[in-house]
Amino acid sequence: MTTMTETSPATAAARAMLPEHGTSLGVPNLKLAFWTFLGSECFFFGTLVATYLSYRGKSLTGPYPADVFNFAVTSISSFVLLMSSYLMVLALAAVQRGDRGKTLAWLFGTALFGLIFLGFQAFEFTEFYAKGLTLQKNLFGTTFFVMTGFHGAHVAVGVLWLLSLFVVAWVKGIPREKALNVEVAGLYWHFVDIVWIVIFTVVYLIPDPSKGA
Amino acid sequence: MTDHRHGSEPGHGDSAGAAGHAHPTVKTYTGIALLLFAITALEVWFSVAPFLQPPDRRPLMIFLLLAAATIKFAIVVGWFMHLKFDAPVYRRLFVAPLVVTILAEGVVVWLTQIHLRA
Amino acid sequence: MSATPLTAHPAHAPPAAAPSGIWDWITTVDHKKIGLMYGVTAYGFFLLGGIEALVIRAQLVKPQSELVSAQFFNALFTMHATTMVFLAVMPLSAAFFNYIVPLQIGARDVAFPRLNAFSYWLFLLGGLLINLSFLLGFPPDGGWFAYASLSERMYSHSPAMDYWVVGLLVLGTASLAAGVNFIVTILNMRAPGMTMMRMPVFVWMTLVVQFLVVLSFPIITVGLIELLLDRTVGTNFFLPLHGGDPLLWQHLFWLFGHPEVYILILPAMGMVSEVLPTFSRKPLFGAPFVVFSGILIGFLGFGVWSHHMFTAGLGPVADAAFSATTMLIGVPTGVKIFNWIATMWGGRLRFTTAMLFSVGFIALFTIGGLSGIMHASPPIDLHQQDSYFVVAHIHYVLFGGAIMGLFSGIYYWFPKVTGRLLDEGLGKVHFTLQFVALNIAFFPMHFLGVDGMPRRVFTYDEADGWHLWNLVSTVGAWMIPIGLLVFMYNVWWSARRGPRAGDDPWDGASLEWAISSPPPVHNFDAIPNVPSDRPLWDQKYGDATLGLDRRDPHIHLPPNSYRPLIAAAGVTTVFGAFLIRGHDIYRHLLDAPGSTIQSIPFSSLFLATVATGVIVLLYGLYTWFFEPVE
Repeated sequence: MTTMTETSPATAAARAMLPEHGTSLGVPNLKLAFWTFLGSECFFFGTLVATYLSYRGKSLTGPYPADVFNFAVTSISSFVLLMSSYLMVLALAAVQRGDRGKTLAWLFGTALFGLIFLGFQAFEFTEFYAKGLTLQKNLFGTTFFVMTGFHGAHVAVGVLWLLSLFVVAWVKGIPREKALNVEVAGLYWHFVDIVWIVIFTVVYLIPDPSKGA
Repeated sequence: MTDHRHGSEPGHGDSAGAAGHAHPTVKTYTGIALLLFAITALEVWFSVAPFLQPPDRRPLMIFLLLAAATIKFAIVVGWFMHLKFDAPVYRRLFVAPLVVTILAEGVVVWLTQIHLRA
Repeated sequence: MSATPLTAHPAHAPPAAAPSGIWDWITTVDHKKIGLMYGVTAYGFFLLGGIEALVIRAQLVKPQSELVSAQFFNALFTMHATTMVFLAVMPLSAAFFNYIVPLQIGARDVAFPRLNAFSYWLFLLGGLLINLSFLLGFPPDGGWFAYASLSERMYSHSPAMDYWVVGLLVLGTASLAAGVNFIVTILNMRAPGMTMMRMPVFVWMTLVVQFLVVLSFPIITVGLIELLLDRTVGTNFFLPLHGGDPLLWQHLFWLFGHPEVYILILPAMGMVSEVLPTFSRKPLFGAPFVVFSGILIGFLGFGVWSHHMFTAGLGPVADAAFSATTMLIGVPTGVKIFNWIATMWGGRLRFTTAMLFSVGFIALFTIGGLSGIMHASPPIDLHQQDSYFVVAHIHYVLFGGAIMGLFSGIYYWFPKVTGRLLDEGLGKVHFTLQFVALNIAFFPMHFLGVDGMPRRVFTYDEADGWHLWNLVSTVGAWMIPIGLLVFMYNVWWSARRGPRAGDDPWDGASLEWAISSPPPVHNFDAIPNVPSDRPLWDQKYGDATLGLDRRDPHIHLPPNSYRPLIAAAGVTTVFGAFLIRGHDIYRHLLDAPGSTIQSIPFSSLFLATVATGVIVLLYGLYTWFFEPVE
């Protein structure tokens, strides 16, 4: 962390308008803060996943993962979240181009896909609950609901954030020099997506050693 | 106080925002999205493919699934989050914690599993 | 979003109508005022934790004492440790981060001034919340480590441990916010010329500490949430009854807890690294080694946690590995001690009070470090675990180390903060009393521990043979407040009548001594140019110039804001609601013992409090983000 320099093709005049202007590393404070925060979030979700994995296959009673998982549903919802990341980069690109129409469309689309994901999660939780898996039932229920619940809460915060940006873009527009505000929302959104990539693989795809029904 | 310069650390401002450098284009993004879709499909197939189902093939299946997830992870972080193209400080701030958390939490999982088996 | 760097704003005059009096303190976003608030609040908690310690020592002064009940004794040692770690040493260090770091790097404030205020308010509210438990009769009593399953509902029915969990969740949020803020400040707000390797060592240690905070607090946050859910919702995270493993809590706690130890000591190491060179009139010997040692300690700090768990039975492989990493982490610590000594070697030493505290720090921390290295060996640790030997070790490291370092910092920077010098005579009386008292208080604990006295016992028998050293230890402990009274009188007197300090009373080398004492609200009339790692010496004794004689025509300072307080109140309310849930469950269990937690309905008061907290938080955040910062 001793020498952090990079070069820029931007002209001096344009540079003076940018939020990174005059900073030691030539990067905006907000974005630096956000990556720091995401490093912290790695530990947050890392600990939740570690708790799940520590107790993987250790439930004393069912339902076990094989009893409740519905691959088709989860695969589709995972795909939806993955594609919302795609819409997010399109939204950022639109803001950076100053394309207000596309900005609105893609921001809304990203939030919508997030909502669809949350809908799938609500459906999944309800299904599991109906099959007898509760927070208190066994270690699987405890660790699964809390881990995916915190992920879902992060998605919900992201949806709220994106919709707030959508309203701002709708009411007064987001100028190109304020693109950073969308960019950090995007970083958050993609992070939530990569957490799901890990959860989807580790929890759903890799077979659980416990015996199913 | 609007234009002081930092003499000792030359070079400023490669933040994302500004257009005009080696950034992925919308077309690239679309390609990446398709690639992510393909890998996800592959992952789902790994988990049901008959040749991976026998118990002695389990390690191979887990390896393939983890490899696929790692690639997806890297693609989203590298391209969608621009980490590959952005200032190196971001990479350090994110990758170092990621590595430490995987190592430390991995040991926690390992020790707890051993303890529960005992 | 939060405030962008000051330099990015169009030119602006300082705010015309600045708020005054108490409202100014409530709404301030000035890092210096926030630093003072941290310092005063933390010192108050330090006295509270000290009183708890004095009662503990009074109870142990003789065998079979009945001064306090066993139950209350549990609360005393739990809250003494919790208070000293989270409410005294950490925020006292935060006071210095806030006040000193922006000055030392040549910045006008931290990167996110309102987030900084948010951190302070969360710290204050969290500290009040956890101590509210005393007033309501449920002080936490499960130890500062809250080991499951003892801390689980089935063994701790009362809401006591809920206060501990909830308080720490609030305090952790405060630390995380501050951590991100200071990392960005240090990486990105340095004055021109201030490369990373030109930063004062105190700034470096602050940076390492903030990384430790940002990376270790999420771990305990998850652990706390899991414990809270076990206690209030009925999940099974650490309950063996359902296959859960209490050992997992120990892992999560110490994976946080060991970096936390370095969070407590590294700031003091940074302060000592400023004080010693100043009063030796020599640059810090091998400064880069001190810096890299600090970074190495930061990394290795995440690889040693299981040495707190040698007696848990992790097996020979884990024990051997963690023993090795623990011995390894002693190396960079030892490097620092030699660097400090070598700094003094051949220097023109001035034994001011600040210097005495720094030298005292080296001596006492070395003793604590050596007993720490002893614990790195599992066979030895098996004997010392949970004995007074460990209590001796921790107090040499945290009182002899961290607190001595912090006092060194107070004596060193007091003139900068107030513009007046502390009385040196009284300061030396304070140092002597404190140095002697703490050795009388803590050194006998080594003997007691080796003699087999377990820690955390509320009394002992005459036949145990522990009376003498307990008596000595208590006498020493009760001498500590005498020194503190001298210190407080000194502060009270000197802040108003002390001799004027001038800008640079100690002939300092770093940037804070180049500006007036106390510093102007905008810190620097002009942002300095930094030619080396000891810029002010270069200006005074070389031909370098910092360029401070100019004055920037337009200095923009962010306006005051009460939004951080609102947002902090929202966060505290959401977490605090779980105290209501804790009380509900306790009442229910008294009426119907044996009922499961999930069978106890959520009260409408609990739900309403959560909802209120969320609304207040959202209101605070939205008005914060859309608040004009010009």
